[in-house]
Amino acid sequence: MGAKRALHPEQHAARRGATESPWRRSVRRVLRNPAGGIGVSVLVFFCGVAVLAPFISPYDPVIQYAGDELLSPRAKYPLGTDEFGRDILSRILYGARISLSVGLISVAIGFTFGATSGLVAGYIGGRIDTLINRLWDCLLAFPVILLGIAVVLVTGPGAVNAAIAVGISNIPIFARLARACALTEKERDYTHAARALGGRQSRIVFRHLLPNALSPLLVQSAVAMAFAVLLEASLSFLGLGAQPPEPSWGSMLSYSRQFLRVAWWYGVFPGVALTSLLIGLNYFSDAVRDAFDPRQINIGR
Amino acid sequence: MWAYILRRLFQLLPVILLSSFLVFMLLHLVPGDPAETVAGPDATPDVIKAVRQKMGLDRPLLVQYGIWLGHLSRADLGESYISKMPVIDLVGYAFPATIQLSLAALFLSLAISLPLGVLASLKQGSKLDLFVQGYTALGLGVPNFWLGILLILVFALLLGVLPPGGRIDPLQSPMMGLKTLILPALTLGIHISAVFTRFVRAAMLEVLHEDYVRTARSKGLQERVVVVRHALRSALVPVVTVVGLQFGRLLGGAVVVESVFAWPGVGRLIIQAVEQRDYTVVQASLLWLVLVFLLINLITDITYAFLDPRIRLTQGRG
Repeated sequence: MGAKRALHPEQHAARRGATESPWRRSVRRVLRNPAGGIGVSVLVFFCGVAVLAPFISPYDPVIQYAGDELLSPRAKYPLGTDEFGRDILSRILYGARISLSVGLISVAIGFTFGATSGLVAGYIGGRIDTLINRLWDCLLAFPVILLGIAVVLVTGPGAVNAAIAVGISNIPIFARLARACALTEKERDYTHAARALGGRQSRIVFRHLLPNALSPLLVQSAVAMAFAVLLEASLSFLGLGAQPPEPSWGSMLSYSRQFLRVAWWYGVFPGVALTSLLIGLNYFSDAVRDAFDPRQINIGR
Repeated sequence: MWAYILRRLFQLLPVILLSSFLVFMLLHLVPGDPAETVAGPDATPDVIKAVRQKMGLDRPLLVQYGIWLGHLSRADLGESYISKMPVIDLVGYAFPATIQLSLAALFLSLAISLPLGVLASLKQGSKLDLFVQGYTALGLGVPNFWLGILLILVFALLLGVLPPGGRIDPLQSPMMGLKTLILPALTLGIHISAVFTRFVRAAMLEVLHEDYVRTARSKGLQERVVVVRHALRSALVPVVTVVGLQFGRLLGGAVVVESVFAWPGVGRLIIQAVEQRDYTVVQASLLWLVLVFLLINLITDITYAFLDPRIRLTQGRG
């Protein structure tokens, strides 16, 4: 009977906390947080739906069944049909692909351009810093939906262009975070050491500053994902995102408006899917933020 | 205080100039030639050339920008390609509707969130608190255009008590004006109220543990007085900023909600103009909303600085 058994569970936890990498600790905290659990489950569910859409959809999302227009939910069409006799369930399942891929692409755009410009601006400082900062300030001055409209106006409507528009509106936020990190980290000893050893600037920025700025940037990515899905749906609702016959939730809801009087299901189910994904993403991003919050790392466990 | 306001105004200038340049460039980046749009589909190349000259499109870009700014300073925003109306009239007609909708939504959201947030903070962990947290999660998650569709389904189509869209000027018919306002304002307000409720609850929880609240309680003051006079009052300071920041979001949200309810505001003006490729209208209304947005941010910052002296003394000196 060793000292091992005598350890209090909390001491176990403390010991594990001391040896565990910060990343694993964060992942564990996201999953243990009840909201995070819900968020991750919802996210996994919709990712599964998006990947498996061709196998689980009862019908092809764009095939129109003449004579089956605007049918209410029934065994043949569990969620009813739209004005062209297309199966709404299949369109919703395929719609998850658009929502999630636009979300991912736009976060990637925001992250890449935002983090790079922010780190470089913060590290180099001076005029370049002021210039980049002012440019992003201007983008922040546009309410995001207007920025999205402006970008789509230039690039033309479409799912990919909507992703680019959402991505661009994400850049300033990532840039600010990265710049703030670069400003503090560049005065640290390890950065001075890297410079004294003759490290190239690009190496210092990407090998030394970036890893240290990563956790706030990742938290922001989770927040930005929810935001991107909503913005894509809004742009599609306004007719500026995915174009027919592509099955985007936002555009389905937009077209449903003409038929609300006769087909309530058309205006309800795509919204249920969109809202569930958004609530899941909100829970997920809250949990990620809590897990990475340095103020919480030493509290409890 | 005046020094701070002047400094902030001075900082705002480059942002305004740059955003106006971005909005100006929009017209030149969009695919297609505006001169062809104005001249019409049957125009001969000569006519298009003449139109281009008349519109000044053949001059260097910076000169065009300068001329455009000059027109702007005289409140001349050009005329609509489609309706040939002065753009300033179109925006001037639409803007009051947007402001009316935004203010109504703001009022509704405060009326919902202040009591909910305060009650939830007083009974932390109770069923009521759980309900309030559920409400905020739902309110933050539901996209406003879907909420609008649901409200139309229930109140306009199922119950038939409220109109599904359109706007009636409250100055002409207060009762009908109010009826057309309720659904759009609720749609816009519920999302914002979720943000506020979260904030009020968090701010109240923080304040309720402060020493001076305990002192007030131990003095034997009525609970109501402690909550309203002592706790809520200081909890409201950060809420003011959030209200200001959300007002900008409100304007953005109004763009979508106006489309749902056929509300004739600036948002719907923009969307219609985008559909019709009426770029001068898009340009002017975008610029207008951005200016209003910047102005509200400025007022928020100033209010906050007024409430918290530390900000006006340290920030914005760079």
